[in-house]
Amino acid sequence: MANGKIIYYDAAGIPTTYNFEQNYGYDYERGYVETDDIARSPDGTLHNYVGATKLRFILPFICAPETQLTALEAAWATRRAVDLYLDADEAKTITGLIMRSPAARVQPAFIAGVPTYSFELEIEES
Amino acid sequence: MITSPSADFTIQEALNLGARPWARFIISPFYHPNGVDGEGNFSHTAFVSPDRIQADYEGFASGYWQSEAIHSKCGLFPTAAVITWDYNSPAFTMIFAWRTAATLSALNAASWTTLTNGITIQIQQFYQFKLTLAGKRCWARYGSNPITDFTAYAMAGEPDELVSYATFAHVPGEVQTYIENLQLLGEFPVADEDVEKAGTITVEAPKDFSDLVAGSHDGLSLNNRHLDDEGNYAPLFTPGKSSFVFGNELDSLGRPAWFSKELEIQFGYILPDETFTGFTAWRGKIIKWGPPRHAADASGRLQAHTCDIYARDWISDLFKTKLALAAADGSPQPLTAGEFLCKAETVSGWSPASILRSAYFESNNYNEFDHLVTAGGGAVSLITPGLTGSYAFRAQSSGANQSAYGKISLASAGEVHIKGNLRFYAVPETFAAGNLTFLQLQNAAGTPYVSMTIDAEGMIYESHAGQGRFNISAYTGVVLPFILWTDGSNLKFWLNGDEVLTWRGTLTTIQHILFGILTGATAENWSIDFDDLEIRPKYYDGALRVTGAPFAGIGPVYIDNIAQPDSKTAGGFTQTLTRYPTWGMVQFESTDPNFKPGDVLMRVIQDAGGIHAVDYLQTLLGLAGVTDLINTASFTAVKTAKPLDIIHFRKGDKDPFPVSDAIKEICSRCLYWLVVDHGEIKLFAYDGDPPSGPVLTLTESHISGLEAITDMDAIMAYVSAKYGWYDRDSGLSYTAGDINAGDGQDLDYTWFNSPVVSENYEMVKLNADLLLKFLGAQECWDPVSISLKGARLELFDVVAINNPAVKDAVTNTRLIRKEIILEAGNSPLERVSLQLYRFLGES
Repeated sequence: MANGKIIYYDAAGIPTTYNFEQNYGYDYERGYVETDDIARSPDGTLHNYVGATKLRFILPFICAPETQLTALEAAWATRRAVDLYLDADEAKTITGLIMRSPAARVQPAFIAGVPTYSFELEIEES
Repeated sequence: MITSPSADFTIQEALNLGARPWARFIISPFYHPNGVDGEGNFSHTAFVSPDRIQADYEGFASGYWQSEAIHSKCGLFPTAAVITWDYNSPAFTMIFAWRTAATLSALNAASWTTLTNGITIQIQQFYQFKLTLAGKRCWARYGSNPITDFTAYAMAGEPDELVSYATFAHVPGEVQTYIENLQLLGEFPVADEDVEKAGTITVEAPKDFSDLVAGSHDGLSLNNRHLDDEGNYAPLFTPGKSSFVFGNELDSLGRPAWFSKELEIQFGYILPDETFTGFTAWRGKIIKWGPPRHAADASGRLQAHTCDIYARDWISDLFKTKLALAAADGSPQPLTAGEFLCKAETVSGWSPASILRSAYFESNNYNEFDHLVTAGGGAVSLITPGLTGSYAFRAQSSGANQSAYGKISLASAGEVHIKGNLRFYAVPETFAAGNLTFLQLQNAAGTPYVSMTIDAEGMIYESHAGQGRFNISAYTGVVLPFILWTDGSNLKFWLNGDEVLTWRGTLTTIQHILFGILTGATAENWSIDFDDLEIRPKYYDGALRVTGAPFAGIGPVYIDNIAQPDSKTAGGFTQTLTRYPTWGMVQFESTDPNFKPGDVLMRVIQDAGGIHAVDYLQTLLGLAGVTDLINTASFTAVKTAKPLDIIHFRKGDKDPFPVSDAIKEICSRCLYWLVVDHGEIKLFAYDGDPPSGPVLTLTESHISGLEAITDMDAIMAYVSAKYGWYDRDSGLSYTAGDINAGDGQDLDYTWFNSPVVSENYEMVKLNADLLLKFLGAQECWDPVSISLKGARLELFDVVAINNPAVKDAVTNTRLIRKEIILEAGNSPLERVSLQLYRFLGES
């Protein structure tokens, strides 16, 4: 299985792909932001049979290199929706917003003299 | 894996986000309303209940009937239906037409299309039928010349060649012009907006070869809050309501036809242009309908009116359909395929010869007798009910020297085998020895040779054979089956199933048979009933039989495990063997008066050389009536992969059994899985090879959860197989694995112990080796919760799991169970739940 990736877009809509140099931890969180019941319009037609639940992923990165933190911070800084691929070779998982700056809560550590950073990436389906 | 139904489907499936998964439900068969009722427009026609439109008797040259516009209740349009009708049109040209449109106003503007019986039509929201009757020209011949002798009008075309000259008058008894039984056979697609909850499809393969598991669909909840065109409450899915869509249909047994409906589920996606693309994900029979709810919830608020439907697939039919049902006479009819070594049972009394004469008295007369004799005060009558059926024959005596009997005289004298039922209805308090004769056989000259009498103790008595082993005193009023046989040198009498008289000596041939009462010098009151008399010209004395006939042939016959030649002479005696495969019977005849065969075995042949297990499974499925659902490719593939699986099969010696039992017996010995998936019955053979060539590789992007268990419970150290005639030769066995290393399992292919037999060492060894591989540790991934990408997976597809969190390497597994959650609300990432297996003994 390939590592995950995100694709983020600048103001002109030009995409930038970043493959996670260090993959997320498999103890990542998958959650839902809202859970709608089936709703029905007055004429009886179902109008959200598809399900309007929003997915939320919190991907932990443990001891990732500084370049990774920088790239994800750049993605957050666009304040635009990014595409998350849990497997870079497979279908897109969600399109969503990065809810918090990855750099907001970081645990730095030196491994063999190289600075690494542990942080979380929180993406909510938009 | 099911092929993607369209390129659009593939695109939608790849989108985990923004795709609109959808399920469509189709209930079939459905007879669309035909509009034949008292409403509509009639001209010289009328509605005749229950379903006929009939022309008037007289007084018109043309007429028509036009149905009201019918508003279809189907959910999706257009929907196809096959239209058929019965008609009679002796004096009219009949034109039957229809029109259909999406709206009422468009319908009124639409033009009529003439219909042909049996075509498929596409029904829109509204449709309407019209029958036009045009007068037919008629003429008649008035002379013998077929060319010239017509009425002048017809020949000359004068005065108007188009006018009809038949009189408009009703001739009593003439057949009328009508159309009836108008049927529109199609299916009922449930409207998308009526599906409140789409439920869950489950398909599953058994873990063990000796099991069958039915797939199911449950949780379908349909909207049931419909209103009719007048605004009245008219739920479509409430059985018993007049508005119920399947309300008026009856099946051939007169039961409501909606008792047996098929549910088809199509799964797919709604495309951006709002069209649907999908494939058949499941088919089965609706098992439960309802409840149509009208109930309040905990807060006192009435819940929405819905109707739930539960359905199961065809495997459940296999459990219900019984095979080897007893014949009309109650004898077992086991199923035999291939060749089978069976224990033969001695035939006692039964004769397969065709009936020469009979008397059942069901016509309430004595005509089946040739003579009816009453003398000296004896009386005969027909009583009802009979001993079986409606009537029986009764003979009565009230004094001495009385006669009351019926006589059957054969065309010529010879061997006779007489079978019937009798009842001593009234007997005297004491018996004068030999005073009563109730059965008498006479030779061609009418001389009595055999007289069945009663002695002073009440025992059956015959002058040649002496006292029989049966006392009638305890059987007054009891119906007793009897058989009397003589061939000129033997005399045997069976009563109530037992041979009570036996004699061997010189007798004569028989032509006349008397049934009734002849009393002697002592006055006695007897009343004896006879019924179901059958006379045959032949009895096969000393014959032995195997049930399940007719057979194609009978192979070797063994006495005490030694094959017997057709004829042999030993010790001055000659023994001959005759085979009757039609009746499953063999007969030994010997010049030795003391000859008695011991344990007799015979090899009955239905399909010479045996039958391939796959072919026989197909036969069994045919007997269960599900041939149409067989996925032939999978059966052919199994047959090709395992050519050695030639079997002999026999089951049902005592009791009928469900088809599923026979299938389990075969699958467990040939290591097959029989499953239903996507509405088709498929067969898979266990090949013992590790799964390879995955159709889908699951990574983190598909999986939303998985659990893996390694199960060591099934581990066996050996498989011990026995085959063929193991009872005679214990060398016919094979053991795979190490018999001293632990627990093991048996495989039985032997005569007398197993319904499925093989005599081929190669076949037995192959399957025993495979089973040992299968009975290793098992790695079970359950559940693997994935996206709708898994909806097209089929049972036994190879699925690879590439998940570094659980395994270092990509792991190939087999799909054993699949659940598709069609429910709205769930994330599309968690809509398919899989159970995947890996048999660790394979690697």
